[in-house]
Amino acid sequence: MSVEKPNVILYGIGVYSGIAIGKPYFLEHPFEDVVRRDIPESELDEEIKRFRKALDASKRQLEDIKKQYGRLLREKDIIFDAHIFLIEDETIVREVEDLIEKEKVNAEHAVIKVKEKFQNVFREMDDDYFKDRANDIGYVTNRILKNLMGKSDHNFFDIKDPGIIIAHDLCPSETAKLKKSMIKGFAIEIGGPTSHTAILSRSLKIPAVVGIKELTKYHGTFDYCIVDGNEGMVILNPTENQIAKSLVKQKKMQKLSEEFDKLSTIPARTRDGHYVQLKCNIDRIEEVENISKYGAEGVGLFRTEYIYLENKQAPTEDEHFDIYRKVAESVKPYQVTIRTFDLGGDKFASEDQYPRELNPFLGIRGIRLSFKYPELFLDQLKGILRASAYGRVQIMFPLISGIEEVKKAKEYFYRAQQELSERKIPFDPNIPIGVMIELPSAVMISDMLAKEVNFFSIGTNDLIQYSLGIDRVNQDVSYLYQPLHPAVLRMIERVLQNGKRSRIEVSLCGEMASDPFGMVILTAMGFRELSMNPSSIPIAKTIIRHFTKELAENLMTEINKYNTPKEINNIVLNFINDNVPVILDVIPH
Amino acid sequence: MKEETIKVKNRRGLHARSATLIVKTSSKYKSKIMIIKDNMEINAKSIMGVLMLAAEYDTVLRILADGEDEDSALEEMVKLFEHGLIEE
Repeated sequence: MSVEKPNVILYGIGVYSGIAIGKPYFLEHPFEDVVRRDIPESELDEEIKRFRKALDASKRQLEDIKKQYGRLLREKDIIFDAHIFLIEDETIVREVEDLIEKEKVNAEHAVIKVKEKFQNVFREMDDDYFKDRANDIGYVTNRILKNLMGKSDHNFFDIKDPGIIIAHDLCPSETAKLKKSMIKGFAIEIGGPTSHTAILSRSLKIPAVVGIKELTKYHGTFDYCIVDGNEGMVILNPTENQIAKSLVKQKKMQKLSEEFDKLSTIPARTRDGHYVQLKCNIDRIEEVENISKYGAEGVGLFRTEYIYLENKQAPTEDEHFDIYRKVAESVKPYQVTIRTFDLGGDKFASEDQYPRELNPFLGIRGIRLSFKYPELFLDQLKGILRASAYGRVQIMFPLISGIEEVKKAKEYFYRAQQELSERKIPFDPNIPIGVMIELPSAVMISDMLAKEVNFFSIGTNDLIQYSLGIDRVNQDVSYLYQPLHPAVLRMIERVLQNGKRSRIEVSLCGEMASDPFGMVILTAMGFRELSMNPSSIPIAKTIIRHFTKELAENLMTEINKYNTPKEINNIVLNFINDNVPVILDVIPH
Repeated sequence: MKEETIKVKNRRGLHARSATLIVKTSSKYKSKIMIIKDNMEINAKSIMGVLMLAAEYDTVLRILADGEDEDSALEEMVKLFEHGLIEE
């Protein structure tokens, strides 16, 4: 840290928390030195050939990258397809070739001109999404330019001493090659919480700050920096004092995560010996590895929608079976709860299932959609049943509003069983059946529902949306999304009590269990089974291990004295302060 | 030449994912396939074109197919707009 270099603090948006301290690796914009050259008439054909060759090379590279890395990152595949189409696109290709011929200029200059032209078209659009497509034009044309100029991609494999990646933007086809061992952190000039960098940093679990205005202007003025993903802050040429502070913070977070790691093999038991079963929610088969990693005991919610959404068509019975069997086998000896398709709402797009209704969340979704498409439903039921011969499987129906729906769902279920019996295909005849409790109506009749099923699972996200009457997707009412609203807490308690009375299991699989405040209350209420994002399990365990029956009872009495989410929030915060102070550092504030 | 009028039913409009599907589908056919929004006419086989439409939810579009396989091309394109474009 040389004295004369300026100590600068820049702010952006933290997209993955954590502290990284290290040397910066500057990924520069390599095209500022492109000059316009005149090409003699006789060599124009040759110039166009050179451009075509660069196009072919670019396309091949993207296809390779897609093949090698596309599957690693969830949303990347389609981006590579889109980029390959852009490279082949006649609109761009023709414009470039016309320009080379008409202006008699070098291909590099023509590509840059066309790039700017189309980027401006997108940048002038009203819709933010389409505005951002200017970046895609940039990624693709930059690749063509690199090939024209004989430059290769940033070779991250050369990084021996991991550091902090500084760039104007990261292009998905390049970042796909990144490995965690090469990088400590990201500081990126453009982008927001949904940018490619944000998605990447989350999948690599590397601290990242994006949207740092004018960051690249500081190129060359610093040789050491700190990325603070918690604060959304980057410090260039940090002082000794700043480094020391960040190191302390870093150590604290590391220690916490080490403690959490140790927790994975310790049971979730209260101080006075009550045991709580913690399970995890997963969307895909690859996530089952998280079960042992975070010390979960089974899968409390396997969402099956992605099987449909990714295939873009209805999966066959065999396809269902393959996936469920794999999950059941890898979760063994624990149990997996498979929820039938919860499509609709915001998870569908076609005319029949997603009509032009003003309130898709109140329309054909969840079990209603399954009833509308019996073949789709039966194939899924048969797939689940067949998997039950290979592990411990439970089946769960979403968006149940009344008894008739449970009965109807069970009729389909028996039909599926009968068909399998006729085909002499084995399944578990005692497979437990349950329902999601996510509509206020289901809460009110949970005593009746309890007689029809083997278990309940409370879905808090929808329960909150439907009972407080707010659209989860609408930013303007998001302030009303209050998990600690007394109405929500009363409903949850009611379901728990009704379930206990009928001696059926009651679990909860919503976001609320992933939130430390929600988790404290749910433990105090006396839940004996909860399902959450795998990464929330260590905190949940920590909370449970600090509880006693007496503490729980006192906390509930205290909570019941207050009327507003804010007051309840404060009660819980005090409780954490007094009884579980160790988690204070990880609570978002 | 055959023509049909459709509406964009994706809540978030013709995004990259939908545009990619449109290009993939239309490229399977020999016919020339055009999409028209107001006064803008684009080639459905060009992702730039489809993106530049910036068609949002509920936008009315005309799809034109012209060529030897225009019937099946138009049929599949309409089907894609009606059922196949999955939300991102």
